[in-house]
Amino acid sequence: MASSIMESLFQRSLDDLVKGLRLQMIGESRYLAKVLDEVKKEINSTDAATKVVALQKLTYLHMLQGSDMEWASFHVVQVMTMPKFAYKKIGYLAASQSFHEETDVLVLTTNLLRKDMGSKNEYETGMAIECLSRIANRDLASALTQEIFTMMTSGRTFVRKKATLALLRVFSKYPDAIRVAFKRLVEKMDDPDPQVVSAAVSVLCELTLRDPRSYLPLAPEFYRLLESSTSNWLSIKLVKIFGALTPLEPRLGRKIAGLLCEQMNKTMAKSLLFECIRTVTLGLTDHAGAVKLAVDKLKEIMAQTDPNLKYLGLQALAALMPVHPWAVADNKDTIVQCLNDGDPSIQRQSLVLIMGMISESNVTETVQVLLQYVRSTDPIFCNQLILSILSICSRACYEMISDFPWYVSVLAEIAHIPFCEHGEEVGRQLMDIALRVESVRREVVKVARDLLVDPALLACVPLQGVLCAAAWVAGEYVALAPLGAFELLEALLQPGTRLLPMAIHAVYLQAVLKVFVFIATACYQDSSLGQQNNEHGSSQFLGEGSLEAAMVLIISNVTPLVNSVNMEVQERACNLLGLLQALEKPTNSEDGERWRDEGFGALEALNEVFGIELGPVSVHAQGRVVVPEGLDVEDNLDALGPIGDYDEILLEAGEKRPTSVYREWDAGFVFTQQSNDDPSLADASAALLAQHRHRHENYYLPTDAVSRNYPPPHFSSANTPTTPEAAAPSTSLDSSMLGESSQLWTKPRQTKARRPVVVKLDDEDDMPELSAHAKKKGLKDEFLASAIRDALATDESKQRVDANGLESAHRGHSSRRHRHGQHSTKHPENGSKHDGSGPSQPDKTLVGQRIREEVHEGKKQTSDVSRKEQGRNKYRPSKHEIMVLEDGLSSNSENEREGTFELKENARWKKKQQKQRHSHRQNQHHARSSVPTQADSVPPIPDFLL
Amino acid sequence: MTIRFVLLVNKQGQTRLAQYYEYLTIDERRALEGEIVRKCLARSENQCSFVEHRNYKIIYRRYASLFFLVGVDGEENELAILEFIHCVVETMDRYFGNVCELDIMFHLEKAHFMLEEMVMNGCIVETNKVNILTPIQLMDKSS
Repeated sequence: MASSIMESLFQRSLDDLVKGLRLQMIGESRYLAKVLDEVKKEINSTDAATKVVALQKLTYLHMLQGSDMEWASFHVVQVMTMPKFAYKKIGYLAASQSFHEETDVLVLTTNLLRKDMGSKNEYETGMAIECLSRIANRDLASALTQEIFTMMTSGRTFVRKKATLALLRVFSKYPDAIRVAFKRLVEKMDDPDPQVVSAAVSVLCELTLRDPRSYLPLAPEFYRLLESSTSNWLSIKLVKIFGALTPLEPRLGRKIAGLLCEQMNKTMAKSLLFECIRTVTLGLTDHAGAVKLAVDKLKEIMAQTDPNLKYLGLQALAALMPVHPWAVADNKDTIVQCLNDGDPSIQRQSLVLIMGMISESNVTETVQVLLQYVRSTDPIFCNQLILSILSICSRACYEMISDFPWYVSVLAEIAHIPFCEHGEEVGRQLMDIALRVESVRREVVKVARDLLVDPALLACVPLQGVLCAAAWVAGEYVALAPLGAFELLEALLQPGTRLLPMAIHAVYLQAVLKVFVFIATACYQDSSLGQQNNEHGSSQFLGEGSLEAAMVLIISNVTPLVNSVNMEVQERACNLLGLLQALEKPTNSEDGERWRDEGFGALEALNEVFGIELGPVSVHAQGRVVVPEGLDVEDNLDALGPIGDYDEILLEAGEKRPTSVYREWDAGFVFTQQSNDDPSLADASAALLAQHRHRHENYYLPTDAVSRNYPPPHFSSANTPTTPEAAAPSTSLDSSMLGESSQLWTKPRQTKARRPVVVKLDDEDDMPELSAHAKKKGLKDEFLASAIRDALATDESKQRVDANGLESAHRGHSSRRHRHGQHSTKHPENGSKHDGSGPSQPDKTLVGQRIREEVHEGKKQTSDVSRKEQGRNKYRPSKHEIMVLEDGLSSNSENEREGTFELKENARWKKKQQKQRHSHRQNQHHARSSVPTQADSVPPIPDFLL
Repeated sequence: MTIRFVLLVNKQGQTRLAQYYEYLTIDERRALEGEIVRKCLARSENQCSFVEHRNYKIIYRRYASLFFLVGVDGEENELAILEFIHCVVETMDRYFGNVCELDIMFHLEKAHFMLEEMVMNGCIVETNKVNILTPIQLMDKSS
């Protein structure tokens, strides 16, 4: 006894604690540890006051500092059982702050809560209900459902209100409670006290938003309440409910349109007005009058300076946009002004609207306006603008763009904006356009040249993606910039390129090779021309000696790269220097003659390889490759590693003469060697390439057909239209397999005369989108919904069984099917969460990647394009894996528990239900005739709506 | 669930009151509070009072040195929540008399009781100040 007095005398009070906390800004942690130590001692005290203060201090520390108080949960329960109200309240506060579903002492609170709910003090009862609604888990909810049910008819408003609201937690933790309490909840909408009505509507509003379909039958009740409601809070909830219901039932929209318009005109509260507008945008979009009124109101609101109203107005317009674009067009000026607003949220929202309104006719002006803002705003919004421009213009294969030179200039402008962080995307689009739109290539090459010659851009990290693309474009289409070929070479070899990342540097080197081959070929042609007719002594395009200059330039700049740490850079540098060595001009003139012929031959071959035109690759190309018979794609290929090694085959089969290798694939081999007696480096590589193509015909793009003298399959060249007969190769090259649509082949798109032809693959529109729209729905909600349907059906379904067994049996069947459907729709959703939304089968992807790697070996220059293609093929789980996922879902442990529980509890519930039904029949006036009775999805609402 | 949490933060960004209507661990709460506070306190007076963060919509209002922040889900009515915040402040004003940070620090449990009366399960139940304060005043009398 004495010790407890001492304890309470010297105990640190709550005020002391808070003061100490405020003082101890620096040594806080030490102070905290000290106080916690004290609390740990004091909380074990036998003296109630000391214990309570200790718990109170601990709760404070938990709330303010986030100290752990799990360890004290038993003490919390002890304080909750104290008879004194003030103490009890502290215990309850601690419980509602620290307990959660997994807290082990929850079991101990069941009886305590039951006792307190039965207390004479209504505040004690309220406290217990409040606590239950915070901490209830399944067991607690099921144990106390009966108490809550009884309290909903309590004589005291305070208790009735709290009990009604607690239902929300009880229902979500224990859906079976709906069978017991749902009817009473609906009755509470008729309670004499508006607070209770409001509570009931709150609960119903929450339930409706989770699963609107089940609550359609209650629409007449909601309508009646909304008509007579005087409280804005209540009206907002009701209007919100209609927002969820009207999209499901068009007749309901017709019915409430008038009432909503009346509310919009009448109310002074902006919150209610906005709720009405939101409901109009959700479900009343085909009621012209309501939409008109809503848009008028929005216009008034947008004219005000309050940023809150502006933001909400923009949001509402965004919701209206898909159905009523005129509403947005009406407010265009205000929206554009909002781009300049000081608030990033408003800016972003107005950007969304502007992007939504872009069409083919106004894209030029809109993008020009946006570009002006790009230069004047802060970096973050600037990048958002850039990203929007890039994504909207490239949508669906640039369907909106008809003036490609203009768009290329926009891309160039974006690349020069200092804050731009989307260099990768700009680069990707430049390359993409160069590939797809032949008529604009000249402009793209010009832009690429401008980018490459500027040494200042080399150090700019975000722009390196653009430079990479520019280098590729310049190399691939160097023929389109003949006057600048030497200049390009200089730009590609400038000393600053050392600043670039290795991967991009490698692309630069490959471009150097292409440019050099172009220059050299041109020079040879000139010199041979010059021999024939002497009056043209010098080159048409390139000055005399430019070949030598180019060689000197390359040798001096590329030689150091032979020692590069990056393998790719090193390899390309070596290739380049090797080629130059082979072309080195001998001194005496006789050899010079021979040299020209040989060198020219080699260059021709290289030029031919580079001349093969590349085309875009379909995302689904891999998926369309038919698996050859006898190829087991499920098989693990690791064991085949050494056998499949291409080099090894060459070595083994090679014996002594390397040419005999080709005998293996002799059948139908149509390769014509250009210089059989003395195969040069280029010839050998071309031979390998052709041979590889022969082996893997199926996996080559149709564009490769060029090399076999088919007319080029590029319908982009409008002046030489290709007939399908000519384009379709006679061998196994199946065009439809590879993504180029045969339809497109026969009918080049010429709907718009103005617009240049854009090479488009047939399946690019259905790019796998992220399942952003897939709404997540918990399993719990489904239980809840089905329970509600059952509850609404409870009364009359039995009678119907007697009256018309067939009909109700059918209904039962369909309802089961409905629910089954719900479950099964979960599976793909769940699966898609795990997969990378890749387009093709996993094992095929693996095989495909190998094949593609081989293709790359033969055709290095395509690597930049196909690497992108590879990136798109992301991982996706195999069929087997998906099955495992589904199994996991269907054998959900919660499901099982649900089942067994029902067995045990069934008998009890049946009894209860019978009792209820009995009492219910006595209060027939309470039972609304319009209260729904059907379990199934779309119940008719005849009386109310017709 | 409509209201997910109510936060009261001072100008320095220290949390003074936090009430969550869904269970988050202490670490999750701290991380969330840190992010939200950083976002909201950086905004100026003439910017709108709504911020989107993760899957929450944050509605905040500043009273002198105190920020009231309410996190709601997407379907909630923003203006109604602003009114609710105002109602909370008025209630506290009536009880404490021109409420300040110290009142809340020293009477944190009272502030929680008020919120408990006003919000249950994330739904706003009571906006009448007399009704909200009666049980608390009763308790003050009894102790």
